[in-house]
Amino acid sequence: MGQFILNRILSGIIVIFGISVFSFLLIHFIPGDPVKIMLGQNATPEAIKQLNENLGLDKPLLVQYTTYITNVLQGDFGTSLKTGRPVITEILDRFPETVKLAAAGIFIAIVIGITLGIIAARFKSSFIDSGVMMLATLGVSIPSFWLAILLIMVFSVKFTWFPIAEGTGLRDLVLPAVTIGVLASTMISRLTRNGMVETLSNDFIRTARAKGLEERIILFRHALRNVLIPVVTLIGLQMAALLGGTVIIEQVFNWPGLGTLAIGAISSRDFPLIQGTVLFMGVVYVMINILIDVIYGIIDPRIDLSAKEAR
Amino acid sequence: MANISKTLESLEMQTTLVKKQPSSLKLNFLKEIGSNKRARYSLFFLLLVILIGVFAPLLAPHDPEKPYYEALLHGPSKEHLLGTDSIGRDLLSRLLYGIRATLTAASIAVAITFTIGTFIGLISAYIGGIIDNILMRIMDVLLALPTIVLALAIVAILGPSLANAMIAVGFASIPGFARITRGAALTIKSSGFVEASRSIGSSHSWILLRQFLPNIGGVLLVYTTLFIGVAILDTAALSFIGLGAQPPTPEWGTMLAEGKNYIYQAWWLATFPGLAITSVVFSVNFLGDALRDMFDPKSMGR
Amino acid sequence: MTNSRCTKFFALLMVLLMAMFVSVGCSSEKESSGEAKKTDNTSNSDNTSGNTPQKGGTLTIGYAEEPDSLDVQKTGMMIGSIVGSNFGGSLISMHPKTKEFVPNLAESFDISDDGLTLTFKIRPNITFSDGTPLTAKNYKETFDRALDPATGATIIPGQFKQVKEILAPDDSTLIIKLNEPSAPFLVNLSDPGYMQPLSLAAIKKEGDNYGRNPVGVGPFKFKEWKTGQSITLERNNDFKWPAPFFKNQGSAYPDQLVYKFIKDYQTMIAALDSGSIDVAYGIAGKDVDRYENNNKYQVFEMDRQGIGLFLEMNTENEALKDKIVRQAVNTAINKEAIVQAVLNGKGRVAHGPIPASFFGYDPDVEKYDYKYNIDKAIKLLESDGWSKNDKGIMEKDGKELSFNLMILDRWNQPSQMVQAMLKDIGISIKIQALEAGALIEKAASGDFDMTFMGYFGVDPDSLYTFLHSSQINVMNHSRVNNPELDSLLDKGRKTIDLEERKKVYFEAQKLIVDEAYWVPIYSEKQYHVANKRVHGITQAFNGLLFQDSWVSK
Repeated sequence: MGQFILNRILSGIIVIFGISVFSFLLIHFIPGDPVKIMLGQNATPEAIKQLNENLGLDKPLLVQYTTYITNVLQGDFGTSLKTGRPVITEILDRFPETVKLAAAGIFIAIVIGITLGIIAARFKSSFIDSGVMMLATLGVSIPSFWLAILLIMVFSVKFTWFPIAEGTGLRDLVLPAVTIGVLASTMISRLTRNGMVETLSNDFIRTARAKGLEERIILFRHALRNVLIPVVTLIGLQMAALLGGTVIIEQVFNWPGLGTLAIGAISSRDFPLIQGTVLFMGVVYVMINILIDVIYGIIDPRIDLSAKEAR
Repeated sequence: MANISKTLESLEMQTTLVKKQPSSLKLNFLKEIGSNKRARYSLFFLLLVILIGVFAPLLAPHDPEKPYYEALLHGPSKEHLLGTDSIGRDLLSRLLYGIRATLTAASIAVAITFTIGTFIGLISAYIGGIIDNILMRIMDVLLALPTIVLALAIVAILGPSLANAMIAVGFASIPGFARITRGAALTIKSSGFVEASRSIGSSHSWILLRQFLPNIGGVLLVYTTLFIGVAILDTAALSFIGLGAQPPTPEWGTMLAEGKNYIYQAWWLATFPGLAITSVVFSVNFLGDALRDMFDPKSMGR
Repeated sequence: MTNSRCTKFFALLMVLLMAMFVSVGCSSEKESSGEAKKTDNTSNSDNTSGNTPQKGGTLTIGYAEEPDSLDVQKTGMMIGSIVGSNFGGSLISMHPKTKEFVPNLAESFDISDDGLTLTFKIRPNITFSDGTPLTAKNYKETFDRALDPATGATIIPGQFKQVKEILAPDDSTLIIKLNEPSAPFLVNLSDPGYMQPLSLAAIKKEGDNYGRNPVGVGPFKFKEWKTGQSITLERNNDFKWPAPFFKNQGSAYPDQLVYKFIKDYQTMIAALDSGSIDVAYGIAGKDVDRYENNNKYQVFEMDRQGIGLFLEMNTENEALKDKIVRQAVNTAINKEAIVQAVLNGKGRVAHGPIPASFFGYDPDVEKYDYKYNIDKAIKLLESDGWSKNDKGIMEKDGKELSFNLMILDRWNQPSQMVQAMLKDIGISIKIQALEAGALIEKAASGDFDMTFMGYFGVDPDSLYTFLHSSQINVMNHSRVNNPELDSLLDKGRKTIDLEERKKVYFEAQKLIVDEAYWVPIYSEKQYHVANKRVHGITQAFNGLLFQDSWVSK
């Protein structure tokens, strides 16, 4: 067990190292001279040279990377070119909003997903089942931004029930969270349904049925409990993905999270900020994944951890 | 969106596909598809869409790029069945021509993903050891970033255009695909007949091309199909935020972005392109699901 | 009032160009041109509601962009100064109606006969919100800080070019000496955002964080900045030194003033509709009818001072250096259609490089401007040796007429129209949407074929900035180097006699139109919309003032 956790953390560190190299190299590929952008059009060559030296951009890549990673390890992600504030401050300002959105979205996804999954499993092979599964397919087929626009057209424009996100209050949260929830629920409902169908065909359920146990109890006490572990894992993975992945939805709803920060940074060519957000998103993703694996291993000792690691 | 599908891949791959024995491609494939109602319907619809795209110049009632200044933001009417956009172009004609951009983008993106993803996955599984480790760590790094952020970064480097969006989406999906290929290939490797082939003197490339590839063909086909859906959605998303197709090219994502600016005045602009994307992606996914069931009957019947 | 870096340039430009004619003596002239008018629906709440102003409540203003910093000397964005003006003030202010300069933080001011020495008496008993009193010395230090290159100030160094020295002989006297008389200088000084006095003690205390925690002398003081969302200011209860033209000579009425940053235009509209913002800047013509017909809202309408949209051609481009090609481009653009489609008709076609509201505008330009005529445009190109190839693009000696057109996102619609119109005569256009900073950078360095542009100004001297050869690599994006035009623009600057000056600009306009460096497209009307729960908004020529404003509960 301890060995597994250690391995997991080690490989996580390697991946994070890779992400840092990637984010570092990224800005060297993006066209446009950061120094010129910082100083403006009328900068003197001396000033450009000076700033190049200050930023260390005249040094070899390896030296630059070492300096960069040393600073990052000390919590210094650099300074945003646009606002002049530390990159880490910009990120930490936005991150809670993304967490809020992702959490609310996942909550809705769980409610919709598990409910639909149970219903489909209960009425297996009926038109309800195929209807629910059809909905799930629809859910992965609909572009997130279109669903967002449709919700806006209906609930903001037509009925004015919910405003298009103007702030980050509860009312503002509803539409973007529903968008995420609807999309993320599809996978949960599929997994719940399939898992339950499989469990329901097991011998112990048949025995329970034969004993005349109430169907409700069979469904919730026995079948559902059995599928919870894979479903919880899926939810964890989705949460990890969403923390960096609400980009498009944030953009449509003008939500002040990491996604809008990243898009803004790329379009204004704010190099340190691009670097910082990419690195941050990657690290969060990796860490949550490690966490899930570890928790998974602890709550379900049946899993052969070493085999999983070997993949 | 794309991330969710990443999750799907990694999870479902482990739960279902890998378990099954690879032999599926040998069954009479076309007949099978023909007899599966879901597969038949979705294939039929997709073929129809492709045909409409090909014959768009014959079918479209107007030039998709011609503005009618006397008909700005007109709603659906006899003259313009689905209405006009903010500079008076016929929406229906743009939608029909939009099939071309969308399908080209998707097929090129998928071609990139498929070729490189399969290659990396096969190599990784076949060689194993340190190479496998390095390749998979690199894939981990790329997987840790949301596909759309990765694609954004690539577009930021290459500049916005439909071609670059395809490339970006294609590359950004490689890690997921490589993972799947590798997983499927590992089951073949473990079945022991690689050793058998080697012992009778087969070359590496023969084993890879003749034994691995056909045997994981079913898995690859299913996921390639599902990836087409993802690729359509992701290129549309890039176009939606202005980094894909450039005006006046009719492309559904770009059209949606323009429509979003007129949700108060012209509901049709933001409705029909979305409907178009959804119906195409839906039938692709429907086909993918049907294929999955065919190659993995267990998941259907249980 | 939308895009970041651009706005900065235009803000700078506008203020710089408020040359000679908007100064004290001649201000009455401008009145007749009717720069700003309220629409009928706009109520001056004092007489419609009959209510007396109430203290309390929150006034929320929506704005498309978020400032980079609230250190007004360092901000590169107009919104930085707009927010800053609420916690700041200026030595003198421009009366919103008469356009005369009146003392504000200065209780009086005097300009020497040669126009070289400006003497300000600082009003006594003004304090910063951190309690330190405002003195002349303090004001001098404020300007010194801005002029110190180490500060990296954005606006003041450019506007203070003619300043010889700044003196503060005693606590209440501030003297600014100039190298040469300058009318725009007073206009610049009257900006309560950029030109406000700063508390150096606070700057020292806050260090790098000052831009996120500013201190000033204005009617509001900084309270909170939620990045990506809003800036909240709260009432400064000690404030009793507004400009004399306000009815309210005490502290502001609302408890709080909130700026919400809403990048997406549709969201801005929705926010205004749902009442979560009270005032929205920059509502488009297509949406304004809805508000004019709704008695919950008041609409403030202004003519744009300058050309809102024009197309600049790079005269160093291989094909575009040919005047006939440029003329053909001009002849192919249907400006009327663009005004209808983009502005919903709420604006004017621009025929020449300056709008009708400017001094020196020649009404004849409407006659000699190019008339939209596709056949004629094609004939022009054909007479010049171009002919359509099999792709339908005009070609000569193996060279195609295809160009990149740089735009900002908000110009998407007109750019597609221009693209379609030019396609009709066989010119292929590739649209390139850029962020404002990048667009300006490329335009300035001549790294483009065609670009959209817009400007604010009040005087034809704007043309100097855009077309004088000395401005190549700065704002002369078209890289026009025409000695005849140069001499006209030089002459316009120096000529004092109005009739004479007018003639100079008539001539310049004619020359510019004939050379077809630009395609002037439109001057749009600009709209700001406010919920009627906000009373007493004062409309100035370039924005709204809120000192008399109060909100009903």
